[in-house]
Amino acid sequence: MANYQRGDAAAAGELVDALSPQLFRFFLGQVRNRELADDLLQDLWLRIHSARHTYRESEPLLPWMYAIARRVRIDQYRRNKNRANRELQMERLPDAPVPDAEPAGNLDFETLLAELPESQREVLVMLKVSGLSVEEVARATGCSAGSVKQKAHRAYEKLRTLLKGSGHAV
Amino acid sequence: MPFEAPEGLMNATPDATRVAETRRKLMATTAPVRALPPNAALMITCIAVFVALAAILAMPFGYYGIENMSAAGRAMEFTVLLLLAVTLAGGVVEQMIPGSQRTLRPVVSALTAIVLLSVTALLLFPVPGSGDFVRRGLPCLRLGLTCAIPAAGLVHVMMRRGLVTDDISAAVAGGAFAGLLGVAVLTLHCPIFSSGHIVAWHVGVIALTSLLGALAGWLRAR
Repeated sequence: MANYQRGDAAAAGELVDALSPQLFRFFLGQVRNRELADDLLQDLWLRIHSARHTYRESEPLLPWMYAIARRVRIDQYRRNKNRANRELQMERLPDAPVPDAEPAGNLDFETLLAELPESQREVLVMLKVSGLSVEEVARATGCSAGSVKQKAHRAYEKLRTLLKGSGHAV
Repeated sequence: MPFEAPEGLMNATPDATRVAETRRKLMATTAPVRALPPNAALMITCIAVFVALAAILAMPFGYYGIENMSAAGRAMEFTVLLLLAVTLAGGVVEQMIPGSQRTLRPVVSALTAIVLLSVTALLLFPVPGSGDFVRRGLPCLRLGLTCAIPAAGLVHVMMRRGLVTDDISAAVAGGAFAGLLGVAVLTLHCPIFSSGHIVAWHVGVIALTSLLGALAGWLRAR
């Protein structure tokens, strides 16, 4: 990242190659649509490119990137919401992107994840899919570590209840 | 751990063509940038501007407040103001850097400032109020809010150098910091030493600017 800031184009390419899969999974875990996740990933890299001066070498990289990724995701959500509000007056709504039938090979997991509130789903995806630590998630989401743990705990509880309800072993 | 994500999601990969396209775009436009200074340096800049701006803005109205205050009162009042300036400047800086460690939520910082300034006023000036409460108070509120405007503008310019990831929190942090500048100007200028006047018309500036900040942030976030 430091080389990227210094104008090293190869370092920029390496960073994109190394971190794109992880960031893609973060988006996919939330939007459940491959095409949209690809769009968000591209949007994120452009945003990172224009805000790369805000990264400091002394600070951890992943929370910085995930904080921007989170912002990209929120902006996309707002855009969709505003568009939906405007289009309500139309006679027929255009087809909105729908979640892939089996985006990640496990429909049950996707369905269960969709049942969680946005904030809990986000924390769970960062912890379990992206592999961030509690401290890193706290930095990325602007919450305290305690709040992250509480959200994760509530998400586990809800998933446990849902799994029990569907007859799966917990 | 009580939960593991499924392999399907863990192994999902982005569209290679799109990634290659993004890589090409970034590599074609990569140029050296200067990273922002550390948080401490940004905070010091914020506080230096805060002190200078408060002194400059109070100058045309006169430093009657500080001139008529006891030495102990001065020491206590300005220590509290400086401590709060450090806290709120820290909040502003945290909001402009993605992924930085958050010490206090901006709403908590603003409330802390309101409580601490009110308690200081009650301790220093036990006289609860004087006549013409509203007539003598409104000019103070107006002056405080007017002085907060340039401070809010500077905070906005500074935040644009960074990347705000939470509009509402950032706007509350900026609003509270700008409001504190209004309070500092009033402390330098206003010679009315009654706790009721200070809590309602001086400290009220921070409450109003924080609320206005929250409103501006909410409108931007919609």
